[in-house]
Amino acid sequence: MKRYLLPLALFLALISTLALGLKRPDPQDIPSPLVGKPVPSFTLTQLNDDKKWVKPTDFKGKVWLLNVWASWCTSCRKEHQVLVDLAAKKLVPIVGFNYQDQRAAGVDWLKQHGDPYLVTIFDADGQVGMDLGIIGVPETFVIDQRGVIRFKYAGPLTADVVNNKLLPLVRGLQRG
Amino acid sequence: MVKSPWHHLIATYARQWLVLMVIVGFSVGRPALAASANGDHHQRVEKLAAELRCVVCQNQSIADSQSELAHQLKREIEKQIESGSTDDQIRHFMVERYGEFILYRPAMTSKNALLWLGPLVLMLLGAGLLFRTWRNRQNQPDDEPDEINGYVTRGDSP
Repeated sequence: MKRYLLPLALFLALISTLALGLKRPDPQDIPSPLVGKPVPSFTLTQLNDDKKWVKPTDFKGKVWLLNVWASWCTSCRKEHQVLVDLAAKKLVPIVGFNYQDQRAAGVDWLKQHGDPYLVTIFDADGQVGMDLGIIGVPETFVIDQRGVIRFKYAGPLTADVVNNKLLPLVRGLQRG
Repeated sequence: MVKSPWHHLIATYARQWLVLMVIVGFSVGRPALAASANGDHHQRVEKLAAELRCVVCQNQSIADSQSELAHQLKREIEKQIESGSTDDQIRHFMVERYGEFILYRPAMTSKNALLWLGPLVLMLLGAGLLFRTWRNRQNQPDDEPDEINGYVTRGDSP
């Protein structure tokens, strides 16, 4: 009887490993390599004013959210109300990042759906988006007072994600 | 002890087999070496793009994928090759932004050593077990079943 214990144990180990492997990898679960690193430096214009410049160091000293969106992105419409609601609570500044879009289309979209952003950064060709490791739209970053990226959420935000993932982290960071 | 017929076969042709492997190795390996030293940009772009996973449609390479991100990254590779970056620098650029996941062939680090070496270790374990079983069989006083009064007996019992 003892002879069969080792092969049986090995077989069970193999089966459980394979069973784990059957779980489809969620793209959300890919850790962003940028978490823990400072926001890459850049200088871009504001969406509403192509004469005004904005860079990430402008927000040093406070915890902030960077929300990547585009007028052509249908999922962004789903999450937008969540952002508008969050902005109304004035808990944390939200900076918009208009990614690979047309300026006029972006401006119109905000007029239509509401503007929860402190300011919106305009990245027409997505070059800065590449430095941010943006894979899809929408994505939301949580950035601390020193300008270090602490968390990235890929996909449309929901009230659940905001309340259970983002806000606790934001509050913890704000406490210092 | 009776040696299996494979022993004899391998022993006789070991030298030829070795020579064959060396020839095959060189003929496959050398062109690959030559291509990377070659200044042909287009080839380099294609080669790099084929090694990188399109992280949007995750089961395609950047070379194959039609997604916007794949096109953008391919343009970026071209741009960097033109400005003189090495293949390694380009790979590093991608991993910095999109993570190890973007490489189809992740570098061997302590973290994924288990992944790289695991199958080899398992194979060696299996081979070891196999060898031990084979040797135990060989060491049995009698491999042939004994027939006593028409009953077959064996040396060991389960």
